Amino acid sequence: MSWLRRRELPLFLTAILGIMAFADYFFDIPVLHSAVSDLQVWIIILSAFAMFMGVINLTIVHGRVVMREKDVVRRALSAWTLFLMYLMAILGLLPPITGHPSYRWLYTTTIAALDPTVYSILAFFITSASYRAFRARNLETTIFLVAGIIVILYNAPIGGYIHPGIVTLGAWAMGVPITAGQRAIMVGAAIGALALAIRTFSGRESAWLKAGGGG
Amino acid sequence: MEFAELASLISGLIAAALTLMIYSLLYRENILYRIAEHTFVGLYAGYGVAFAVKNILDQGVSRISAGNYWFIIPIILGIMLFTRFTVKQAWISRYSMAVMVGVGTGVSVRALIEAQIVRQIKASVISLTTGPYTPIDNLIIVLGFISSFLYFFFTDISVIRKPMGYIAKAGRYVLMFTFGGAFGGTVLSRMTLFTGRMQYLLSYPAYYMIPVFIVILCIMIYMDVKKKSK
Amino acid sequence: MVERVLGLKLEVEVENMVKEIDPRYMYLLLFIVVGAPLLRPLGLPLPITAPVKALYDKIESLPPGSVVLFEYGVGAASWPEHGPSNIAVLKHLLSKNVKIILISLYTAEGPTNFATRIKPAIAHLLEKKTYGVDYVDFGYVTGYETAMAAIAENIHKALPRDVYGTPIEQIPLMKNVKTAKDLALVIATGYCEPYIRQFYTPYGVPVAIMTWGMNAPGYMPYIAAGQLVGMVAGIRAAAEYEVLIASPGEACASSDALSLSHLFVVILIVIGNLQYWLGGRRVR
Repeated sequence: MSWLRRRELPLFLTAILGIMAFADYFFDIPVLHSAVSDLQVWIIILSAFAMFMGVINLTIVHGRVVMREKDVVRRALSAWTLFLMYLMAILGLLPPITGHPSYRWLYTTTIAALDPTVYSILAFFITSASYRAFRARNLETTIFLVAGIIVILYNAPIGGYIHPGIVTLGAWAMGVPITAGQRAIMVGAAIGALALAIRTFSGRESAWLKAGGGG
Repeated sequence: MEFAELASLISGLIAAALTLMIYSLLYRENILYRIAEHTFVGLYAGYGVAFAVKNILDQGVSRISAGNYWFIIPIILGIMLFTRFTVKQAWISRYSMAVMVGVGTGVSVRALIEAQIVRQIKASVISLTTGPYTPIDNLIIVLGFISSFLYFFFTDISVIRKPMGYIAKAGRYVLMFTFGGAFGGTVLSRMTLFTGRMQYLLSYPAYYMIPVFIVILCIMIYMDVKKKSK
Repeated sequence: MVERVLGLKLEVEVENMVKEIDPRYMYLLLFIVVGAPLLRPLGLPLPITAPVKALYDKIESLPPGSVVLFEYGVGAASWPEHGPSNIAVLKHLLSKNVKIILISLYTAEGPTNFATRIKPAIAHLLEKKTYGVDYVDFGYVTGYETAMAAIAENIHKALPRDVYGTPIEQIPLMKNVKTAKDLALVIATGYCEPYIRQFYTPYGVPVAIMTWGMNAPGYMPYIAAGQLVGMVAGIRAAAEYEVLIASPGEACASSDALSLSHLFVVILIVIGNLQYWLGGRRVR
């Protein structure tokens, strides 16, 4: 049974399933269509199992801190994290699953406040970076800043109030040069994604095979 | 006060406190921020468990109980996924990953060629006179796309011979303009998030926590000044 | 700082002579700049942009009885950007004689935010509709793009039950809705590429997106190529949509604060650059 441990088998499985899913789009073969259709539902179920991975990983990482760490503050914080994680999980499983009032109350009280706050901190760093870091040192950075200022004023309702030309200029900038550049980035990224897919199907991309241990 | 009103008041005060605990990082790293951060990590990780269980029941167990016994296989594959955390049995999880990576890649890439390559190139190769914009704008789109695209393939401008080098350099300028636009969009997104939080903090009952945190901030500043003067 | 000048290997040391301001003062100013207009609105006008108008016109042009797939995957972090647009567009859809399939594909937080924040805002419109006939909710489905592919191909196979556990065969709205071809429009939240790949490209179903403001420049090519019929990107666009449906809400209330915060950033960039260029660059 040691042949099951070989790397080649999962890579071969990836290639077969990937090519099947890919080919289903281009060929009208009922058997292939039915198989890929079922596989897509399999992925829905597998993705649900994957959602447990974060919980398991955090349990291992913070569990180690609680058991082995000497610093009392770090141990307390890790214990607090684990406690809240399991509390939220248990509340969510109370009937009706995902709909219990206490689960929703805890979500709106904590996650709904913390999540946007953590991301909004970047607004402050952008503000300080605007003053300290964004310098028009050469032609390229000047173009960058000019475009940035045009789009910032276009996005702000006050832009049109300062001068109607800002709205016209902003709409032109978004619709013409930015579209051209974004298109190039998009096509380049798509070609890169295609290359990655070919590497995955041919077994050359195997980083995802690495596994073992938690944390 | 009714229970629902009390729960709403407590909820609002806790949410405001957590928000301001995160913003205390703007002064400096402190224990309040770390408590809020760990609170967030723990709750967010636990939040998805219920939805995962619901999906497994709705998509997997319900189909099996309806007679589609094939769907035992994805459930077994899902359980195999957990061996990823062991050292000796981790190889078992590779088969689950293989299914996810293979099907996921195939499904996402199959329409990519048409959606993100062919149609975008088609939309860029437009007539200068009868295209969707003015002739000059049509020219900017065509030349802007070609030069930016060429820049990706011939990135080291210094080793490229002259005509191609100039086109790639022009592409670089178009890309800088594009990144400037992206920066403008990022400012909008982040300021929106902050504006949303400010809207919340300035509403009932969150604004009751503002004076509390001003006092805490003053204490932190006083302690820092005292420490510095020593 | 060291700069390469004119391609020559000449090392020039540039020193900014002006002492930089502690960033914490700027943070404090930002609090004031954003907080002040929220307490006392300025009432600045709001021009309507083309992508927002395009979505509005598309919904207005939907024939009665059309089926629309509405993806409400709004997370807590993205609520300020997606929440108001979700509410405004749903209000518009509910005011028309169209059928709505509600689902969350982007995030597991979708159903919770829908129940606690979106539904209360549209409750008065939902009361006039019948669940199962005019609208149906499938909750959160894992798998993201693979789930989209499965839904587009065979909705009944991919979604066996609604969020309340009712089998799909027993839902009147879903009787004649089997694949993506039976949909008149897909309005999604988050990223547009998977929906374009799985709904528009294979089946030709029009796709519209409610996304973050920072994605607006990146999605212009899709609008120009006709792959997106409309876009509401960020809170400013959500405010425009609220104006179009004559129902000002959260987005309109914050547009003045948004204006001043943006102006603040521009002023800081200008001041920073003026200090850099006029504050004294010493060449050694």
